[in-house]
Amino acid sequence: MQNTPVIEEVRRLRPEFADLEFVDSGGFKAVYKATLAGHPEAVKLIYIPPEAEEDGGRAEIIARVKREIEALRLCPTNRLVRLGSIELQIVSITGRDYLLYSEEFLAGESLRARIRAQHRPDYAELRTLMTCLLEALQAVHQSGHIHRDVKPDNLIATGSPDRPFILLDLGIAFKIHGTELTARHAGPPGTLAYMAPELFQPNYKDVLDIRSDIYSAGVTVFEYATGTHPLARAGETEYSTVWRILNQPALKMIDLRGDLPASFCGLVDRCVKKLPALRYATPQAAWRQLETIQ
Amino acid sequence: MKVLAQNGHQPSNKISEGLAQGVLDGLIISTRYTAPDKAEERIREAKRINADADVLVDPEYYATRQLGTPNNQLGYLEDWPYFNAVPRRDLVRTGVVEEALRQVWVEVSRLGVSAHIAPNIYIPQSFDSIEAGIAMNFIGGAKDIFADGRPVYATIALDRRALLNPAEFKSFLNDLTALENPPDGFYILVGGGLINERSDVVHSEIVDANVIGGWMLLNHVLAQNGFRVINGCADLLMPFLGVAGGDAGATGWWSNLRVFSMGRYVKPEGPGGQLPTVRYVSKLLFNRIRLNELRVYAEILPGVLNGLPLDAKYTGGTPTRTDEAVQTWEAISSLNTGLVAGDIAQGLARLDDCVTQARAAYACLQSRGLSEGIEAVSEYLTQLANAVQTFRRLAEL
Repeated sequence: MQNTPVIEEVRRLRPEFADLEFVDSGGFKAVYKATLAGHPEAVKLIYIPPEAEEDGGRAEIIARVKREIEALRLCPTNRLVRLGSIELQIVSITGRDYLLYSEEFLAGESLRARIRAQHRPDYAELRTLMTCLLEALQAVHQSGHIHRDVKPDNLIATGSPDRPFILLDLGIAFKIHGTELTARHAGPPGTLAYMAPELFQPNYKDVLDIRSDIYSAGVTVFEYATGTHPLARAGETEYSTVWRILNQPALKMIDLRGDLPASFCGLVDRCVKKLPALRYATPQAAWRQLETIQ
Repeated sequence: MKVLAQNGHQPSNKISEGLAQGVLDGLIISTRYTAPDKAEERIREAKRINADADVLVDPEYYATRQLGTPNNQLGYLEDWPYFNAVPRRDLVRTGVVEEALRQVWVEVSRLGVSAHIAPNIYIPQSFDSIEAGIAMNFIGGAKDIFADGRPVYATIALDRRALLNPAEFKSFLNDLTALENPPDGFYILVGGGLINERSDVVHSEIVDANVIGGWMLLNHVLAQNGFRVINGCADLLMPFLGVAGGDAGATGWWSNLRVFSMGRYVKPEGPGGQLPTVRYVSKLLFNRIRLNELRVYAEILPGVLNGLPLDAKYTGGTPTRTDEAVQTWEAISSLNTGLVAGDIAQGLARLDDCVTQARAAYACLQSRGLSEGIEAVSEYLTQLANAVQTFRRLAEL
């Protein structure tokens, strides 16, 4: 992130933040861990570049963060990260503007980290992951949003039996029937290898629905289970990945994990179908199917 | 997969025999061939023979486009109060569509049908059309209006050409499976041919790999999304649609009940020709053959005979028109039982085998000098074989 405030700058801004630690940064966002009223929280700072003032970008950045917070507030599920105690506000650090708010701090590791560590989940773990993910997406769906960035990096395995997997980051969530936050000609936001085929259509906003998230969920679970992306190949160009997403049949999960129930593999494969109509219509429909699989 | 009778002209005792002999699971009553005051009688008669029979009434609303056209033949349709021409420019308004649905509902809700077929207009050419948009409004409103607890099947009546544009077709499927208050199922009619074209032209247009593959995809997508699917005028394509996920198919005794065409609502030009000869549906040949062919073929290849009870009507004498109709339902019902499997991969493999065996049987007959019409048969079987491949590709299997 550009202009990431150092720990001392954040401490000066909010002396009440105890045990302050830098966690991560990327894009315009930096994340810190702090203890507030005895509880650890993830403090988020989003940089508002001064040049954004001129082209309407400032309003868009603020609207986007407001939308993320609104989406989280409207999703009453513990499968999604919860908001923290700090309400959204604009702060100034060394003359630069930032948005500040907090979420609960989640201890654990991302699915991406586990994939890198060549973790091989068993069926029970995969079933739990799929259940948590579908419950999270059902809440997103019922709130009238689409997550748009489901991927291994945005899922945290906590090790807690109550909340074993938690979905993060509604930063690019799309509100169905909501005001557009980006120009019509802008490409779809998201992480390319996890984007559903329909998102590469010029009119993607007209065809976007929760089935795009179901696709990304399928790709994520497939990759976590097998260590292999069902379509993308390591090191290839972005346009090659896009071509595969649009044209190439996805790998079949049963071919890579013959030890898993065929019906579970079929469920994941169905989520990854190119035609949205061939996927589950809602996360709940997939969840009902999952319930029938032992 | 259930086999239903597609009701039409001159039913005589065909349907009652089919129900009594257990080769039919029900019927779809045509409002063109049934006066409003006779519909309930027809339903009661079917239920008397088989209390569990599926009895539905097709309001044939899609035929309203023929109202006011010269040489139309609409039979009793014009006696049904709902059968009024509504201009397309008015049907783009949701309120007008709801009123059209309500008018049909008023008439059919008093009938003892086991499920409702909700009306729709005909999609004549493309899913990217005003008609397709109107059709979607009919589908979207059906469940709200037809609300007496009985299952509701929304009609999708379309021209074959609509299935041939994959991008538009897939977009339609995506919209169809995202409706907020969908019906319980769909009643699908795929039509071919232009007005006044002969039924054999219509048949050859429907028996096309891309049309059948698309029709199968429509069944598959709807079944995958939890809808029940009835295919009108499906005839010998029934097992293909059943393998793809369809629940039922219908066929009748005249060619216009075996293959759908809007041409059925227009009087043919010139005098009517002779009645077609009686034919036999051979499961092995996956085809309908003439009596003289049956006798010659069966001497060379006994498997041309199905080994089913109605064979006796053909081997022991001259079958009647009723025998012919019942034999068709018997053969298709048996094909469905043998081919439609719970597992789609297994069902498709069986279809492949079935078509291969038909090709092999015809090759055997040809080797014995029986090559009349073999080119047409070969083309027909090629289309069926390719349809399975087309479907596999479209359904991403």
